[in-house]
This record gives sequence, C-alpha cells and structure tokens, in this order.
Amino acid sequence: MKYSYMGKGVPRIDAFEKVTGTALYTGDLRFPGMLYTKLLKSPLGHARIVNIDTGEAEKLPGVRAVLIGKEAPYKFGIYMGDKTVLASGKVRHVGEPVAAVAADTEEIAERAVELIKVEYEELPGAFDVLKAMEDGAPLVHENMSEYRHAPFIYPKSGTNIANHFKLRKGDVERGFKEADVVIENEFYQPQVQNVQMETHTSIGQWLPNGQINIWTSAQSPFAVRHLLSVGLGVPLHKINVVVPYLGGGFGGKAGLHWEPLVVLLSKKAGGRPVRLVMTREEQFYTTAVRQGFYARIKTGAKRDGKITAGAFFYVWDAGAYADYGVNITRAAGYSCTGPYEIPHIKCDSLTVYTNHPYGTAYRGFGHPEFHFATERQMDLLARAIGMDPVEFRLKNAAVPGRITATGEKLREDAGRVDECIKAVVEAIGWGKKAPKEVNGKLRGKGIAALWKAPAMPSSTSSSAILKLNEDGSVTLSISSTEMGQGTPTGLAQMVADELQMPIEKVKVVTKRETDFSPYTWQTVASRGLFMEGNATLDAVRNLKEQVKTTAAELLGVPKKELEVAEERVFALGRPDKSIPLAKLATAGIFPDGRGIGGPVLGYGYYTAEGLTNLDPETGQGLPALMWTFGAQGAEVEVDPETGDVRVVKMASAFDIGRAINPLLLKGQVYGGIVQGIGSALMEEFIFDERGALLNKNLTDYKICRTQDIPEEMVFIPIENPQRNAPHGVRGIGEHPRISIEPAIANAIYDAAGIDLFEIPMNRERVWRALRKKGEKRAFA
Amino acid sequence: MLNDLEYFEPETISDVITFLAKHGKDTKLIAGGTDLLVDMKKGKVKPKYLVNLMKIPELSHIIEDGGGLRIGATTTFREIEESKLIKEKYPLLFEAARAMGTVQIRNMATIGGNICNALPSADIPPALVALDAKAKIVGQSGERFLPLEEFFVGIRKTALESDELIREVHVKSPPAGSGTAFLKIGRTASDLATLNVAVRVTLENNGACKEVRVVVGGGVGPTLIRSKRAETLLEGKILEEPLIEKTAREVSKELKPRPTSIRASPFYKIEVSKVLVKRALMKALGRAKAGEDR
Repeated sequence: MKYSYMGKGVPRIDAFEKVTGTALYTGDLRFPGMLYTKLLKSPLGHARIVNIDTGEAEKLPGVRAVLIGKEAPYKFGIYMGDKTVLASGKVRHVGEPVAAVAADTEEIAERAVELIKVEYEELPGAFDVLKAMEDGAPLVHENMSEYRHAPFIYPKSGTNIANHFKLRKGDVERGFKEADVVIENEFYQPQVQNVQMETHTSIGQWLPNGQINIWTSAQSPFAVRHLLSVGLGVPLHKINVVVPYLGGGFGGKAGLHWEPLVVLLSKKAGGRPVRLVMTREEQFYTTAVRQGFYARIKTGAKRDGKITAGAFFYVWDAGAYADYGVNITRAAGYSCTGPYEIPHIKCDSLTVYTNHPYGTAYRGFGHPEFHFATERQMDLLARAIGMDPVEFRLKNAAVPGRITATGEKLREDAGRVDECIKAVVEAIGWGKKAPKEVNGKLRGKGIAALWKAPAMPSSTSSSAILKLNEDGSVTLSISSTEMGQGTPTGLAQMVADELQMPIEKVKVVTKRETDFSPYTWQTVASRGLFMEGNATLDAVRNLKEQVKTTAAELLGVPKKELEVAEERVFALGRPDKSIPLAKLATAGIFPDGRGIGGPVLGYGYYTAEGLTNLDPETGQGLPALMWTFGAQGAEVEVDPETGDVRVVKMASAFDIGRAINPLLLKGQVYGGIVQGIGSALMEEFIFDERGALLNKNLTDYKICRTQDIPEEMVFIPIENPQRNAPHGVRGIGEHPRISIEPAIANAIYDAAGIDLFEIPMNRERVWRALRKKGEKRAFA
Repeated sequence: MLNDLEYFEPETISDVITFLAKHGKDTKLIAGGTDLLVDMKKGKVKPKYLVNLMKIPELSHIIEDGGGLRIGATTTFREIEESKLIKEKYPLLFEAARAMGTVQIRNMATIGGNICNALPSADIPPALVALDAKAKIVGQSGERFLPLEEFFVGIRKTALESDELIREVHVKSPPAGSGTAFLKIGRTASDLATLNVAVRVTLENNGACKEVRVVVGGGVGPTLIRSKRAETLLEGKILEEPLIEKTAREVSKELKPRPTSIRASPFYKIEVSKVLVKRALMKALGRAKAGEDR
C-alpha cells in the first residue's frame, strides 16, 4: 500500500492554526451589537433570597437587560433537572449567580452589578458531605422529589441524597468469612477544579422570530441543543449550536452550563447577541468543579493472595447541583473494584448535595478518586497478608475470562491489565535494588493499576459525513469537538489509509454546528476515536460504494471488481479501466455527455452494541462498551525534614488496542500525568466554615507547572486489539490521569514508611505523617 | 475592572517628585504592575492618578560603585537574574531574584515595586536585608537612606511618605570571607514563599564568625524577620553543626506566622523554619569556607 498513516506519529492537522494563533475560539468571536455580561454572585453558602432590587442597575445608561432568577424559572440538568440559570428563591453555594446584567460594555455591566441590592436571610448550611447525609441535616433541595430525572438515577426523597447506586454480587458476608485477613480503611479527596486554559465562554442570541443561535465553548454541541430545548421548551430545529475550537475541557464543559443564561439575556435585550466569559475566579466557584469524595472500603483476602470479598462505600460531594455527579456516582459504582475479580461484592455509591460549588465531570469521571482508594487498599491488603503488591495485583487481575463486578465475563479481546502491570514493573525497576536515600532524600517506588469504560447510555451513537470534493479531495464532518485531544488527526489518518490518498487531501471540518454537522452524543468518556472512528469508517465505505456504483457504469466493469486508491476508481490489473475520483464528485459523465450519479456524500454511523441497563437492586448488567486497562508507576523522593515530595519518574502502560498516532498518545499520557501530579500533591478547594472558597485563583490554588513535572516520563503502549473497534483502538483520553495519586501514595510509603489516606499529599500533610511516625531524621 | 483615573508617563524623577508633592495621596506609582494591576482590577486599590515610572531612564540600572551595587528602582527581576555582575559577585541576590514567580512575571516585575508592595512573602527583601541593603528615597524634601529592614513597617505598609519614591537600592559588597545562601519552600516552583530564608555568614581569618545575617520571610510575621538572636549566638564563635542547630531553634522562636494562611499552618512554618535556617547556615558556611562568595 502506498499510503499508510496508521501507527505513525503524524503531526496534528490543526498544529499550524493553533501555534500561529489563527485558530478561532468562542472568545475570539464578535458580532454586531453584541452585549457583555457580568454576574452578581452570592456571598453566602445557603440563604433565602428575601428581595432583589435591580432598579438602580436598570437605570444605568448602556444597560440592556437585567435578569434575576424568578424571571427564568426553567429547570436544567443532564440527569437531574435541579438547576436554574440564576438562583431562585434561595442561594445554594457561595459564588452562585443571583442576577446577571447585559450591557454595551463589560465596564457598564460590572458597574450595574454593583448597583443591585440583595437581601438575604442566611440558613444553616450543609458544608460537610458526611454530615449532609445525616437525619435532620439542612436540605439543599427541599423539592427534590419534584425534579424530573433519568430512569437510572435513584434519589432519596427528603434527604440530600441525589442518587444511590447499589451493586450486589455473591454474598459479601460469606466472602469476608472465607478471608484470612480483612482490612477496612477510609479515604478522602477534596473538590478540585478542571482548570482549563479557556474559561467557560458563551454567546447567545434569541431572535424575535424564535430562532436561537449559540456559540459556545462546549464539549458536546448536540447535548447543549437537546438540554436547552428540554429546559426552555423550544423545538430543536429552532436552536443552532456552534462550537469552534475549545481551549481544554477535561469534562468541565460537557453538558449544559451558561448557554441558557446568555440566551435568556438576549431575549430580554430584544435579540442582541450576548456574551459571557467566566473570569478565572468564577471558573473556580461559580461554574462547575470536580466533586469531593469519601470512601470506606473493606476487603478480605486469603493468605494465598486471592481476594474473597469487597464492600465499597463511596460518597460524592456533589455540591449544590447534581449535574454529571449522579452519573459519576453510578459509573464509579459499577467499576468500584478497580481492575480485579472479586467474587463477593457490595457497593453503595451515593451522590450527596452540599452547599459547595456544584460538581461535574472531570477527566476520569470519578475514577481517579476511587482508584486512589482501591489502589491504596490493594497495597495495604497485600502488606497485611505479607505479599508483594505486584504479585497480589496479578493474582486478582481482571484478565479475559474473569468476571467483573456487574457480572460481565471479559472477552478474549478485552485487553490485558496484567501486561500493563508487568510493563510498568519493568520500566520503573520494581523490585530491583536501588538506594533508599539520595542526598538526604528518601527514595521509593509505587505501582497502581486501573480500568475505565465509557459511561454512556446503552444506545449511544455517532455519525460522520464524508464529502467528495470536485478535485478528488475529501472533507470529513463529525461532531466530536476538538479540545486538544487530537481526535480529528486520528480520523484523518483513518480516512487517508482507507481511501489510499495523501493525508493532505483529507480535511476535517473544524467547526461543529448542529444545523449542519452530523449527530454525535457527546465528546466525553474517552469514546471519540472509537465511536467517531467507527462512524467515519462506515462513511468511507458508503462513499466508496457511491463512487463504485457510478464508475461501474462508466467503465463497464462489475462493481465488485473495482477498487479505490490514489484518488482513482479502477479495476485491478486493467490500467485502461480507471477513472479519477475528481470526475465522479459532482456526477459522472459518459463519453456522449450524459450525466450519471450525483454529488458524492458518504454517510456513516455507529451505535454502541450489546450494552444493557443495570439492575436497580444488584447493579448487574453490561455497562461497558470497552474497558481500557492500564498501570502506572511512580518513583518519588521525600524530604524527611520538610515533607517535600518530588516525583522523579512516572511510567505508564495502557492497553490501547492499537496506537493510531503515537505522538498524540504521548501528549495525552504526559498531560494526564502532569494534571494528576497537581491533584496528588497540591490541588484542593479550601473553604471557610460558612462555605466560602478561600483559594479561588491561581495564586492561592496551585497546579503543576513545567518546572514541577518529573524528570522522566515513560509510556509503554500495549496493543491487544479490541474486536468491535476501528483498527482495534480503545479510548485513552482520561486514563493517563487515573492512577497517579495511588501510585505516588504507594511510592511515598515505600520511601518513608508512611501511609496517606488523604489527597492532596502536600508538604505539610506528609510532614505531619512523618512526625507521627517519629521519623528520626526530622530535625527540630 | 479598573476605576476611572488619570494616567501619566513622566520622563524624569523630578517630574514625579513635583507630581507627588501635589497629588501624592491620590496617586499610585506603577512599574511592572504585576501586583498593582491585579489589586486595581479587583477594586482593592482605586487611585485617582496612575503614574508610570517605566519611561524614566534614570530609574533603571545595575551599577557597581564604591564597594557596592546600585540597583535602579525599575530594574526588572529578569535583569537582575541575568546580570553577570550580580550572579558572580552577589549570588544571594541572583538566587532570590530567580526564586520569584515565573519568567513572565520576572520580565515585568521590578525590584522597587516588589519592595514597595511590602508583602511578607516576597523573596528578594530577605536577601537584600542579609546584605545590609539600603533604600535611597527621594522626595520633595530631598533624599534619604533607610536600611531596608526599617523600610518594611507591616503587611503592605512601608516607611515611604506619600510624596516619596524609591530611587535606588544600595547593596554593600559582601566582605571578604563571606558565604551566602537563599532557600525557599513553595507549593510549586513558581509559588509565593511558604517560607524563605536568606543567610550571610562572614568569617574571620581564624575561622570564627565575624558577622552573620539570618533573615526569614514567607509570611512569618507582618514583615520579614532579621534574627537578632542568631547574630548574638553566632558572632564571634566557631560555627559547628550543634551550634547552628541550636541557633535554628532560637530563630524559630522569633517567628509569628498568621494563623489564617492557606499555604501552611503556623506550626509547620515554625518547625520547618528550623530545617531551612539550619540548611541555609550550613550552605553559607560551606561557601564561606570555600571562598565561593567574595
């Protein structure tokens, strides 16, 4: 074959635009008559709104619309319809918008916001997720039972519990009785922010004729359209959602966020376009964040290393609104064990409302949080039975033929966690002799495995349109958005290979626009290359079919003898029977001038196969289209006197099925590691006792920067192809981020002999653990 | 959002002095703006007049002069960090300047601005105090010199009058037999200091300690702290590890960290200051013995 792009590190097709700054993002767009929005935010965590006086603000010249909650009674929510665009009746977290102003300039809007007077009556708040579950805790949503919600969400009316996911497999009590050793531990992770470079940005327009136009930094244009239509009661075809490039999403821009607000402001301002750009501060406490997490895990094992039972109790601090939180609770619940076979399982995973900023998806969809707990627990249990943690993991690994928590027997092509673990063991030099101390710093290594499947409805679908252009080039349209992950490049590689043409002749449309682009469910769940890939291959088949049909007539050759390559349709071994694709793009022409066929537009789709709902009482069923397995290893250095932890090396292996583009893969893996180290060592929301976020900026909330990344990062692709996937690929977007925290925590134990159960493992927390242990070298 | 204000770009120091004499109380001087603009955007500071000092050539220089250094007030951190003279002869200043912020910030931020902002977490002031630096202050009533440790009065409070500005910072050349060290703890490589320590040790020919400065910053009080106890304990003595450890413990008693810091608890700061002070003294001593610093 002349063209072969599979497995090659093709530079990303959008590199030039992005490097030169010509790539357009929502914030770059300007429209005639556009207005600017500023928000008035709640200073209180939980309070009744007694009165709002917008009189002075409305009088300010240049103010075109002032909106308050009771003017916008529409309820939104992807799984739970619990949220209005502005607080209505009461505020549920500090930073929640109470009023919004659209004005000719940002300055005027801000001045107007200062003129709005709000009278509050403060209410007792739910600021601790475990206390929020107790009887008599202040209720964040008194009317929860009236909210519409997805059928697989189980709210407990009269409590703060927005979802209770249950999984029961085997007989957990019997399993514990069979165990030689049973241990129980608690783990905790705080709320954190996705910290996308681009803050949430939306421009909305609701024209007097009922047409709604939206330009927005959303991961999933069709989800925005659908949720807006349901929430506002406007027909879908009256809404057009445009998404240009995204400056990072990491889950935080999935679903619907501020689109309804700008649209409602526009309506009030007579249809002028209204723009809202979240400030960095608002990104922290007004818009969505990652949920907090508490886990209590009890596991038992036999002395030979076989795990007999696991009881998993997961509590998610959803904050004020459920958003994706209820589905994260579910996904973590059915994946609760991590990549191991456990015969007897009980899992309860609960979404709990609190008066914190509201939680949403964050790269890994709950998996980084619960893997910290499960992979720490694996090390602790191995230690308790006196077994090497690697050996212990391999003994229980969920390899093909074994049964998952939901009762799925893993297929032969399901991927191999054992191979990932072994690859990381090799890369990190696990078990090899190494100095325990270097320049007064303690050195240690740790390993953690992982798995994750896309969390999505059982019938999720994607589609693709491949247009043949008049010069023989092709243009691919998909609706999976580009937010840095590079899916369009991978798809272009697939198209070029399938059509045997240079990749330069394959264009992938950069803009997603619901009026024109083919449907896809969402750009989430590490599903893009798999789902869009299958749809794209289907579109290529369809395009080939169309050009062959016409070419067969023109060449007088049976269709089944025709091939497509090098921008031609031809009969094998018959050089005279060949026609350029360019001559088929608009219609074929017979020698006498008659036309045949028509413009060529390949269409393809893919719908997830074989997935089922889960039983509401036992959680049994098939939720996973594919599992991506992996393992991560860390080598760390601990300063015994200051508690400073430095990650010296990270090694990661994932069974990605097939590496379509090793260069982009590396980018994903390195990015995941850097993001994970931030959360592992420094990121956390710090609140005061009344729920105000104390570190809502990048001076006080630190993320990992260039100077903080490990000296060495190793990535080992494992390639056991997945049967139903395009070229065998599996998703990888989230996975490099998942097991960073437990790998580092396990390495810290290896280095310093201290067990950490709480994230972040910042300097002071490590130092306190060292003191508690009586670390002799801790001078002072 | 910035408030409405009048903006000026004078080209001489005397123009600034004249302006301040008239409008000092309603004026903010701006250099790199890396702190001031953030505060103005948040509405914490609302000056009536904003006077930009960056167009005044006589405020930006690094000059070696009479056994010391004169650094103009609007000299950027990057210029300090990249000065061969400073790196070779004043390594303490080099280390402290480099510890501040990111390259992007250091390209903008100035030594004068950093000092006048008077944040207790600042990195370069402890180094300057360890080198007995003085601020050259000019105003309507002429010029005056103030030791830098007296310049800092409280959190964001300085001894500067509303009609004055810092013209230069004067740094004495470390005497022969000196060794210095700057150590910092932050949550990332570009964080504000949780703790920082600047140390200068100057030895006699016989190896005894002639003069020592131990300066601790990073929010251990309303201002940085120059430890008098360290000077009393160490000067005139032969410096050995047990004495240094004892000194580090004593220095920690002088610290009064705010209980509300989100970067670390007072307990952590006080306890770990002992580690940093000890390490800094050991490092400076080693350098003094090796004759690495002049």
